Amino acid sequence: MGVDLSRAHISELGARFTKDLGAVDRPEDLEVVRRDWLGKEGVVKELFKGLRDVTPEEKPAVAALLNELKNQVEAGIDAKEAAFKNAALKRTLSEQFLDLSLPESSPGFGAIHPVTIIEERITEILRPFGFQNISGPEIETDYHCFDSLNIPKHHPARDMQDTFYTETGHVLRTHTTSVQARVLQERHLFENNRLPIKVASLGRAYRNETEDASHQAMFHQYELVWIEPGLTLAHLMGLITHILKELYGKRRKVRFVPKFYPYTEPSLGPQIDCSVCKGEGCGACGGAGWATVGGSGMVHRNVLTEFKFDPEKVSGFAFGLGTSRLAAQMYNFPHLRAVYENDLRVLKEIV
Amino acid sequence: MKLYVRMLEKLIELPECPIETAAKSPLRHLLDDVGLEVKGVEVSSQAGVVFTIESLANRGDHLYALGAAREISARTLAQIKMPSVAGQLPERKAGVPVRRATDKCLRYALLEMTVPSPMSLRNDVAACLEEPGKHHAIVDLLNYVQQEFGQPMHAFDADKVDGEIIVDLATRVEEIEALDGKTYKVPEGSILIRDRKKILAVAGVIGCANSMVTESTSKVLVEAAIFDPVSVRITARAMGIGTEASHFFERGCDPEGILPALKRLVYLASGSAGAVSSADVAHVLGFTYSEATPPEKRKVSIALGTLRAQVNLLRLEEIEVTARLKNLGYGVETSAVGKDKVFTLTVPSWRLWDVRNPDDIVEDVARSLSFSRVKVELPPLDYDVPERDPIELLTARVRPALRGNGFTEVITKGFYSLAEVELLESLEKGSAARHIGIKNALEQNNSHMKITNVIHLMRVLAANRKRGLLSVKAFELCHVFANPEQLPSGEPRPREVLVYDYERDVLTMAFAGRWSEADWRKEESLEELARSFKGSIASVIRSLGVELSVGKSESAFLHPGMQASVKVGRSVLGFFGVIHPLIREACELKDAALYCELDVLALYKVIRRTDTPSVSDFPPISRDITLKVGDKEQAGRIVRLIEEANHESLSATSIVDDFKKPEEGFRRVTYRFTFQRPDRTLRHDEIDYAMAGLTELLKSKHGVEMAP
Repeated sequence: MGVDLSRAHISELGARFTKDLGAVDRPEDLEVVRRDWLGKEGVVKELFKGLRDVTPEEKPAVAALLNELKNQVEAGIDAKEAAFKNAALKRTLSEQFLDLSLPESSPGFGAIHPVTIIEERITEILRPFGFQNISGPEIETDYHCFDSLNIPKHHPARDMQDTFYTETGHVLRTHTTSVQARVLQERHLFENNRLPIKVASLGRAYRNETEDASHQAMFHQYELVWIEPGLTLAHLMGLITHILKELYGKRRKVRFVPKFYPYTEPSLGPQIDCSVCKGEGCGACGGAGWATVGGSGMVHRNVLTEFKFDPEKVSGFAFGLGTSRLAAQMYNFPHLRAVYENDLRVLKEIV
Repeated sequence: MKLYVRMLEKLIELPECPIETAAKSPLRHLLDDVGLEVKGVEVSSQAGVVFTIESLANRGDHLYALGAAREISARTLAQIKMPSVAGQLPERKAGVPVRRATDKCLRYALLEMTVPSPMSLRNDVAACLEEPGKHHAIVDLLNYVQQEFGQPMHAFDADKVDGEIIVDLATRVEEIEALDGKTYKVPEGSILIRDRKKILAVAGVIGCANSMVTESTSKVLVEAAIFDPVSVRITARAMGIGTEASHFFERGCDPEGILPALKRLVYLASGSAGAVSSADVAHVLGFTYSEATPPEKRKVSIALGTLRAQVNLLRLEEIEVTARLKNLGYGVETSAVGKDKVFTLTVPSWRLWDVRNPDDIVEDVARSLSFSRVKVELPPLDYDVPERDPIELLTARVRPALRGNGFTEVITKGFYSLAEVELLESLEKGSAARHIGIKNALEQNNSHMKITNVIHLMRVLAANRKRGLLSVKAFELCHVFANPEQLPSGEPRPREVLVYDYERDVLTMAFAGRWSEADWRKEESLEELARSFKGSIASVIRSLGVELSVGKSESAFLHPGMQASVKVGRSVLGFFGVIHPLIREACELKDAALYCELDVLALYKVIRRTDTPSVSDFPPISRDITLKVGDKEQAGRIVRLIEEANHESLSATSIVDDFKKPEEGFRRVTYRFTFQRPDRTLRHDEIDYAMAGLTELLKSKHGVEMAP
């Protein structure tokens, strides 16, 4: 018996599928409907087999009707399947729960020491000027720490240094300026006094002091020397001002007061308005409202001459910024000791 | 030095300085700005405002009021009102002859005068003294003149001086009893003031008790002299004493300042207009003066153009520079050289000790203008960026890795105490000798340089655990120090990166407590903690582009059975492990703690810089094998042996299990060998062959057996 491919029958089958699908309320029943309608021996396949017996004239119209039915069935089953999946997912999501308010499990996130943060910031600020960072020893010779820097043995300036003397006959460097001396010496002895010299040295320096809140036997400096013909006092002050404004913001006040350092002439001390008291005067700034953050000056001609640079032809400047002091000012440490207390609760707050 | 505003205001017109706001007054700011840095402010109804000034080490002329007035005058251009002085000193010589037998005494003057009894100072004069009345009034008066004019003077009781005043050098170590009642040894070569029988004073430092002025003194010999600053300094240092006088002399007194100071003294002591309230005034009896060659008239020249360039003020005028320098005491002559003007300056006598070249003039001009008037200018940028410092390169990689693993950077001291040295010596015989001692440490805790950072980091751990931190992870990049086995020659040599004679850079890490900062369920075992710690070390090593391996280590500061060396390939970079319990106890750390110390130079040498990453798209194939490993043997050793075999298809070797049956005398450690080639997929028979070869190698060459 041939397959009934009349329009009426196909239309009736479409209505029957809609009814069958409507009765499905479980995924496994949907699989039965899929098998019955789309399976190898399902209704749709059987109808397509009947196309063989249709005259060529009628075939396009009948095929179109069958395709329409097939599309209806596939779309209906897919939609039902998606509805089941959505419902299942919704159910699962509503059942699952993770209490993310419980403590995390993590090694934590560490912190970089504020002195290092300041050092890295200054290095970045100075990079466009072409400075090279150079490391040097902390156990130094008298020559590199003092003699070559125009601090003869019996000069009162040595009192300023409060030097530690080691049993090896050396000193603990009282300033990172000793690296400057080493660089100048190296340029003289091994590089035919090559210019320009643009070198920064940073790290620890030592002072033999009785320690209290404001005095520590160790502190950090960021020392810089630039030697090249034509450099002036105005350049020195310009560069320091630039660094301090970059570090602390354009509104921070910067001033320079006269100082004496044997290795520079003129010598001046850069100061910023104290961040702890906002310039009102407090223990951190000795009541002045200004905090001295380093020492600076034009490289003394005796230092240039010591390393056979001609002071009539070249000039240079040098400065040493106290990075521990800069850090204290940046993060409002009440005194210098607090910078070195290594309280991880504090250090981790500084990001 | 103490700067009495009441004394200063008699010398020059001053900006405001109200008692209530002296610390923030315009005068205080002016003083700071001209180089008289105020370190303290005292206020009293008697003395008024007194500033404590931190004077510059090269400026003896900043130690007294007249010197301060000169600086103010150069700034404000107000003129100094010189204090009244006596007209002339008598031509009659002092009753005691003076013999100046050393040129280290550049000038020597002796004024003989009577001392009235009683003698007291006017209140306003006494108010400008630190401890008025503590000494005889004539001594107070000398101190007053010193505060004003900067010339230290000393008074001998004339009746206690025997026959003659001799200024010469000590030919041997002498012992004296000084005015402060203490006995001092005076080194050979010191300048001494003697009479025919005894030492009267150590020149420029302190007088002796034997010629001290007392209430019964009726006649004094006032000494005013200029002594060689270096000689005074050496003597004072050797005697272990620092007096007001030595402070002045060391910084250099005004060679022309003796006579004005003595005339001021005579004026104050001998007339009712002076400082003495008593009706009885002093009478000058005689005056003797002796000098070596007169001080030089030093000339320094500088062009106006140079000054303008240095301060970047094109409109700085000759007239302004001249006025400021004159107020500082310079003799100023100007001449035209081309289009520029050149100043030829005669250095004032009180500045002969520090003004020597044009740079000093730049400083004086800049200071008198105020540095705030310098038109600051940025130096030129440089696009030729130099090579980065190794430490910078290294830390740029290492610090983020440590931070990401929860480690916080700390900074500890470079010192150890003797007790700490002894603790380390008890763990490692001979380590004390490696420590470099400090000869003159003021603090006991700073007596030696540290040879390892272990104790300091343990103290950081202990302190932070006591602060209540659950997990403490700290790291530090620092130097450690040691006596070298061979003494360095000290000859200059080209710099070698990170190579020093007595020290080296180390990266140190330490941990105590829980690994997880908020692990609330269970405490990790020591083994788990050690593995986590090792993981952080591995992160550090990976941040350099290389892989961590470990080997045997024998650090005396770590637990002998719980430590390993840190290696990359065959290079040993340092060590890590559980801290020795004795160190932990000494640092009062209750938890077990882990420590790692890596040599930064070694780390720097293994950094992988430019390698192109090589990965294979062909599938990796792994095989596991379980081997017998001794109870106290490092399982990682076998990984190293396999890696050293350098099999061309073996891409990784790892440990995936470590198991021990209680009844067995060994551990069963499972290793995973992963094979992968960059050019093709490996066949199973190839892998079987490779496994057989590696197993045979382990067995025949290294005695490693398969677990039964």
